[in-house]
Amino acid sequence: MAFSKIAKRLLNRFPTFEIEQGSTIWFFRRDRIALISLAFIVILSILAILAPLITPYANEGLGEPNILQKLQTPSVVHPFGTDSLGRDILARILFGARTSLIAGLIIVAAAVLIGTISGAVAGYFGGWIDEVIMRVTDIFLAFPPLLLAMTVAAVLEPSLKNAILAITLTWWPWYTRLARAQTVSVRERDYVKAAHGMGVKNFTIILRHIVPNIITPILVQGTLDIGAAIITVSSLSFLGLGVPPPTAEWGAMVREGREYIQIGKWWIPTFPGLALFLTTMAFNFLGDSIQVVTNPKTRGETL
Amino acid sequence: MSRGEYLLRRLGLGIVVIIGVLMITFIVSYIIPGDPARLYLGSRATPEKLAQARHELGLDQPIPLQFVSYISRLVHGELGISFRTKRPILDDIKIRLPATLELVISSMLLALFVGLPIGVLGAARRGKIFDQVSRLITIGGVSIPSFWLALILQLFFFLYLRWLPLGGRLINEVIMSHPIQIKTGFYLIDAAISGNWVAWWDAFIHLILPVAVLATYPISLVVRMTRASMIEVLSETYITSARASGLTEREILFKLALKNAFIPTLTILGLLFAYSITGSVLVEVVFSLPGLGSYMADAILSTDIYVLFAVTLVVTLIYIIVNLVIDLIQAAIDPRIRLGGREDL
Amino acid sequence: MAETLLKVNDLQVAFSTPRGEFRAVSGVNFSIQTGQFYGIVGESGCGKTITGRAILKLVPPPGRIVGGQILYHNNDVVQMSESEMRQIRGRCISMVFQDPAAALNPLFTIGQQISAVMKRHKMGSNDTIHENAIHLLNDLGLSDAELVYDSYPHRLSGGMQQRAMIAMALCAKPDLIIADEPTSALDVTIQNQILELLVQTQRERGVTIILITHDLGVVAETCDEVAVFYLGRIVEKGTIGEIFHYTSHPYTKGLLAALPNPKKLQQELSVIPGMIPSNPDALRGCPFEPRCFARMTKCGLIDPPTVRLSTSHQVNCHLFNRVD
Repeated sequence: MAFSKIAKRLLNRFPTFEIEQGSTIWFFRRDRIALISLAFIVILSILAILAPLITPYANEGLGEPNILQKLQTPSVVHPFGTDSLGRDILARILFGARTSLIAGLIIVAAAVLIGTISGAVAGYFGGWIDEVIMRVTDIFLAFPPLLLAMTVAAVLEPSLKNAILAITLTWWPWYTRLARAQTVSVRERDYVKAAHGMGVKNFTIILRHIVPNIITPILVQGTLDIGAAIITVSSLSFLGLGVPPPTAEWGAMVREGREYIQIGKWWIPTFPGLALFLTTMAFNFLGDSIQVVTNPKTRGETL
Repeated sequence: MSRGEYLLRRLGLGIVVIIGVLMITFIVSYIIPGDPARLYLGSRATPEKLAQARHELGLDQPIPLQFVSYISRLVHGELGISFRTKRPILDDIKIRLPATLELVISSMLLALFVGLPIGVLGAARRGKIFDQVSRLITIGGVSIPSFWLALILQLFFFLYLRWLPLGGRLINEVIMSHPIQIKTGFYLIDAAISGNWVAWWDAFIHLILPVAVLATYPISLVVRMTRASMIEVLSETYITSARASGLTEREILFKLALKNAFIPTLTILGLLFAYSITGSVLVEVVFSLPGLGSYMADAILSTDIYVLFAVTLVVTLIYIIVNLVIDLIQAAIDPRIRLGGREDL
Repeated sequence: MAETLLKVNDLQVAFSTPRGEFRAVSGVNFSIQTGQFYGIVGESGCGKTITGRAILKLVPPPGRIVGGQILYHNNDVVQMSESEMRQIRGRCISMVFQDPAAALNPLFTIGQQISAVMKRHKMGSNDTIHENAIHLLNDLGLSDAELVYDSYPHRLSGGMQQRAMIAMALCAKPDLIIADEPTSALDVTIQNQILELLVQTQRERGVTIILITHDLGVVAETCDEVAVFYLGRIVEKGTIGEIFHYTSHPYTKGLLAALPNPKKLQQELSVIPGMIPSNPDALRGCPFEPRCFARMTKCGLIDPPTVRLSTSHQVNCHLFNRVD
C-alpha cells in the first residue's frame, strides 16, 4: 500500500508518465515476472548492504584468505564452496553484489546525467552548438562500445573507479541522442515559449521546464541499461581490467575460478556467474516491463 | 535533396567521424599516466635506454607533430610494433583477423537464419502462455554473460560429455595429418575448397560452441524484434487487404509481412555486429581461439598500448563501413526512406 | 432477371472481451440480387463494417461468427474452411478498404500487388497479367497507367491510391465487391469521383456492389437498395425510393433529418438526442428505444417485430405492429 502511494507521488512529478492512478499494483499483479524480478533485486540489495553482518565469513568476503579451507566442495558450512584461497564463495558473492550494484547504478546515473544535459543543450539551442555536440556524439558512437571502454580501462590503472569511468565514457552518447530528440519535440510547447517570453534565463528553462518533461523515457532507458552496465563491468573484470584483487567482484571471480574447472572444482566460477546472470536478468525483466507499460502503444498488451 | 547530394553528405559526415575517431584514439594514447617507452622496454629500462626509446618512438616531439606523423604512418598502413610480439602490428592483425571474422560472421548468420524464422512463427502464434515463455527466453538470452555461458558449455560438453573440444581451431593431430592450405584464413572455406573434409569437420566442431555462445545475444534480440514488429505488421490494414484478395497465409507471412517487419530488425543489425566483434574478445579468451579478440586480451594484460589502439582503430573502421552498408541496404529495401522529399505524381 | 447473389440469414458476430462477450451483430438478415448497388448505412459501431468482414470471413480476433448463414450462390460461407475461402476471396468476392494508403503495402509497387492477386488466382501468364492490369488501371481513370503500375503507393495521391485499390479488387473479376467506406478518408472533391467510378464500374462490368457508409447522402446518390443498421441490427431496409419517401423507422427519420438541406439555408441541423450506449448487450427490447422520440413502454421490454411494408420494404419497430 505504502509503495503504491510513493509510486503515485513520484509519477505525479513526472508529467509525461502516463500511467493511470492506482495502476501500479495492478501492473505488478498482472506481470508476475516483473514482480519476482523486483523482489529479487530488493532482496539482493538488502543482502548486499547487510553483507558484513549476515555472513560469518565477512573477512573472507573482503578478501582475507583462509588457506586451510581451500577448494572445498559445496556443503552445509560453505553452501557454494570455497575458492583457491579458501574464501567462502557465498560470502564473496554477497560482497561482489555490492560492487556490481553500485557500479551499475553509478554508470547509468552518470551517463544519464551527462547525456541529458548535453542532449537538452543541443536540442534547445540548436544551431552550431547542436552541430558540435552531435558530431562529438557521432564520433563516440562510431566506436563499438565495449571496445573503447576496454582500451581506456587498459590504459588507466586497474580499479573500479577507472572501469566505471571508461564505461561511462562510452555510454553517455546514447542518452545525448535520446535527450536531444525529446528536447526538440518539447521545446515548441507553449510553456517553454511562455517562460522564454517572460525573460527566464535559458539555463533555468532547460533545468526547470525541459528536463522534467523529457526525463521519463530517459529514465526508462536507464533502467533497461542497468543490467547491461553490470555485465559490462563484470566483462571488464573478467579480462583483468576492473577491480584489482582481493576485492570481490563477480566477473573477477569467474576469471579466478576458470583454471580450476579443469581439475573439477566447478563451483568456483559457476556460482558467481550464476549470480551475475540472475541479477542481470532481473533488471532486464523489470526494465522491459516498465518500458511496455509506459509506451502507450503497447500498454494494453498481456505480457 | 537528390541522391547524389545525400551520398555526398553522408560521406562528408563519415569523414568527420573518422577524423574524430583518429583524434580520440590518439588523445587517449597521450593521456596514459605511464610512459610508453618504459612499457616498451619493460624491465630492461635504464635512463639512457629510455631516452633512446623515446626518441625512437618519436615521443620527444611536440604533440601536434606526433599526431601528424601518426596519421601519415596510418595512411601508409603502418600500425606500429607490438611491445609483446615485437612484430609489426599490421602483420599480426592480418594473421588473426580471419579467425575472428569467421567466428563473427558465422554467429551473425546463425542469428539471422535461426532468429528470423522463429520470430516470424512466434508472431503468428499468440496467447498468454506462448507470449510469456517467449519473453522469458528472449530476455534470458539477452542477459546471459557470454564468458560465463562459454565456461558452462565447456564444462558440460567437454569435461562432462567429452563431445566437443575444449578450445582452439583444430586438434594437433589434424594439423599434422591433414594440414589446411590457407587461402582466405577461413578454415571452413579453405578446407572445403581443397576437399580436405577431415580438417573441415574438425574446424567445424571447434566452431560449434564459440559460435553458439556468441550468437546467443543476437538470436534473442532478433527473435524479439522480429516477433514484435511482425505482430505490429500483421495488424496493419494492408495485410487484411491481402487476405481479402485470397492470398495464402504463408505467402502473406513470408513474402509480404516479413519484408515489412525486417526493416526495424535491420536497424539493430549494426549494433549486433558491434556486439559480436567485442564479444569475440571474451569468447576467444575462453575458447583459446587465435583471433583478434584474444590478441586484444593479451594486449590488455601486457598493456601493449599500440596494439590496443591499432585494434580499436581497425575494428572501428570496419564497424563504420558495416553501418554504412546497412544504411544503404535499408534505403534499397524501403522505398519511403529514399533521400527525403516526395516527388508526387 | 435477377437472381439472389448473396443472402444473409440471422448473422451473429460476437467479440470476447475481458468484460464478457459483446454482440457486434445480432440477427441481421438481408439479400442482394446480382447487379445491385446495395447500401449498408449506420453510425460508427453499428456493426456494418463487421458484417462486411464477415462476408469474407475476415472478422478479426477476438471476434468470430457465432451464428447464422451467409449464402453466396447458395453456399454457406460460414461453414467453409480457410482454403475454400481463399478461392472465394478476390476471385468471387473482394473488398475495397477505407484508407487506401493503409490498405496498400508500402514496400511493393502497385503493379506487384495487383499481379500478386492475379497470379494467385491463375489469371494467365506474366505478360497477360501485366497487360490486363495496365488496361484495368486505364479503365479506372488512371491515364498514366504504366507509371502507376511501377510506382510505390506513397507516391500517389489519395484518389489515385483508391483507384489502384479498386483495380486490385477488380483484377480477379469478382461477382461482388464490398466497398467499406471507400471515400471517408479522401478529400471531398475526390469522393464524388470515386463514387462515380464505382457506379460506372457496376454498370459496365455488371459487378454487384455493397457500399458500406455512414453517409445517407452518398447512399441516395448511388444505391438501389439500402439496409439501415443500428447497434448490430437492421432497423429498416428497402429500396431507395421507399427509404427516402416512405421513411418508417424513427432512427432512419432521424438520419434523414440530420442531413443538411441545401435548400433550407440557416437551419439548425437536427440531431438525434443521446449517444450510443457503451454496453448495448444489457439492453432489452429495441436497441434504439433510449433515444427514440416515439418510444412506448413495450419498446424497452420486447424486441420489435419485423414488419413487411411492401415486398422490398421492411422495418423493425413496434409502431408498425398491427397486432396489439
